[in-house]
Amino acid sequence: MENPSPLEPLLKVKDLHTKFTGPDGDVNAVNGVTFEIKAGETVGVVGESGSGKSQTFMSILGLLARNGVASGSAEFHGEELIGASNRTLNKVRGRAIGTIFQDPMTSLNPYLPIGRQLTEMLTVHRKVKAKEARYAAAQILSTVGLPDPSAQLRRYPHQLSGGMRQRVMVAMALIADPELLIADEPTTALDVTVQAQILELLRSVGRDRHRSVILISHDFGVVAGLADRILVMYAGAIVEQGPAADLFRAPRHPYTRALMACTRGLDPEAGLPADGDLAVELPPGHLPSIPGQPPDLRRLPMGCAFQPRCAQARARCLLSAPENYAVGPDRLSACFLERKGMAPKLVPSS
Amino acid sequence: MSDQLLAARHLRVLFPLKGDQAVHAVDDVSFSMRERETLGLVGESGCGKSTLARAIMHLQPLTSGQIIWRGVSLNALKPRELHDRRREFQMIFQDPLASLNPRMTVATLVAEPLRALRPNLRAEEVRDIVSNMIGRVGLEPSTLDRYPHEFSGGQCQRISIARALVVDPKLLVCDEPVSALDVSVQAQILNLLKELQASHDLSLLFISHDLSVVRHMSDRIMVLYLGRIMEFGSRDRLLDSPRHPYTRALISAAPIPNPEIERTRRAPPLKGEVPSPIDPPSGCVFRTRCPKAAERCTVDVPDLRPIGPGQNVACHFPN
Repeated sequence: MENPSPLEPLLKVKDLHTKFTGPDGDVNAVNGVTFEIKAGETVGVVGESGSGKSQTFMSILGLLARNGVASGSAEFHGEELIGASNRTLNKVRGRAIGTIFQDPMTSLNPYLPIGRQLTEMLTVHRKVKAKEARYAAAQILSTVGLPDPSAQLRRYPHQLSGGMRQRVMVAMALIADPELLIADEPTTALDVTVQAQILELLRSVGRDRHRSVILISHDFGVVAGLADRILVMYAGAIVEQGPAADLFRAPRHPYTRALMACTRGLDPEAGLPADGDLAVELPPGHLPSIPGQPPDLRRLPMGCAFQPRCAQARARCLLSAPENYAVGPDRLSACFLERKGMAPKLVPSS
Repeated sequence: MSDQLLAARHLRVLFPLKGDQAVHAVDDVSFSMRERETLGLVGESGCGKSTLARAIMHLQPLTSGQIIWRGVSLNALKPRELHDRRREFQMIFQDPLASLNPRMTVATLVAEPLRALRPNLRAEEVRDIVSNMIGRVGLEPSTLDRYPHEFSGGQCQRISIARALVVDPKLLVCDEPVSALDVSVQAQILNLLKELQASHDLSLLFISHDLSVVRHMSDRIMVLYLGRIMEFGSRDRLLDSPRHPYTRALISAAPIPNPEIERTRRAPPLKGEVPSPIDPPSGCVFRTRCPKAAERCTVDVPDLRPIGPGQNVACHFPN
């Protein structure tokens, strides 16, 4: 289990569905998600609120709210996590898969000094002796760039600033040396100058430690510098995936293109994608936007979920949801537009 | 200047704490705004952006300083006279759902400022103005009978904008109006604000932590740090040739959605975090994080001084 073959994916997710029951009907948070994470790669997961990007990984980690049910498959080193017992999950969570969430204040225990919270990771998961764990905790705090680490161990979360707390979260996720680090909007609550510091830290985790990192963000800018591969999610499904450089240079799915145009419209330096079409002529001084609102997950639109907001929607798009089409090396796009032309190979779904 | 709308002189807002300590939220801030101008206000959390906005709106008493509104000092006005002036400056907030009363219909919500500030209007006049306003912010007439929770964040922000503009103000203070919205919806609201600014001859005081949003909206930009102005100038000069080390750091810290640019990124521009506003550093408040800080910066507070056409900087060693 410690030495995976480099060819075998670390994490293999197949046709994952997650539903939440509620008084106004079921919320379809994740609707058939399939992807793989290889050892050592950094994958950016981009989507707007309600796109299912967080719930996909909460499902995999068995951390759904009580009214949530996941089905499908998620294998970590060949071991099934969906429906697994807490015993199995507890061996994986924290030890083999580390997590960092958006708000460090709600993830840290306010009653315990951070040293105790850090050493617990080792004494529980790795059966390390208390004294050694304390040494390792001070080491890891200095790795994540906290000044005077031994003194920090005695402090409580409220005594630290937001950036320092997020560094502690990164330290907690790293201390058991997990193979996969899942960072869910790790910098969204931080100021830009501190965000730059935390992103640099995550970059070094991927590069220097050769760990797999999943970076979940609503911001293409945040993932641009780190991700080797990108997954774009909308309404609980992956609409496009591919190597970061290719996907940024020439996004294929109409949603990716539109979302990227929104982001880049604000950033003159980023430049528009090479084939950047904005579907509609914009009045001068106007920013590209996507008309309408993200869908209500209780009442998903017919056919393709993006169809009501898509400038290129056809009658076909109302009939059924598109499958994944291969659109280049290691690239998939779930859009019927890819079907026209000569040989758009249909990728067998699951 | 004849088209001057507002002048703020040496504004200071301190929040007293126990003992003789105080939070220095806004410290000696002076600026002016012209009619139809958009002034962008950027800075990180805790730099005093929102306190300054609230002070301009007279929602926050000043510790000292003066606000001149269209030639009249607002501080000198009686509460009654101030109330009459309220029509002229309005505000929208970051969380649109939290700023709308959940028990009121959209029609009541949008009519409320009219009832308060133009009590002489007849009911049918109010109804006409409200339904006209709802159309101008891009909402269907059918929304009038519905409640805020039935709408998405972007639609709620449209309702907030309708509520602010229904009394036909001169100045709209926008405090992080799109930060809570999805990227695809942000642009809708920014476009709407620009359209309404042109059609209503509005001035905007536009606050955001997001430099790219401020770049798009503003004619001039003011950069705040720990309650003080670091740099203030016309948008293009300030962003294309920033003179203050903090402005430079803010610009280079913002991630750019292009891997080719991001991959060549060097070390993060600033170390550490914003110090506490309870005991701000002596001299220049930025010196504890400044790569150029020298002896002098610990002693002298740099004045905001002109450093080129339409550009002012508060730094002893500008770039």
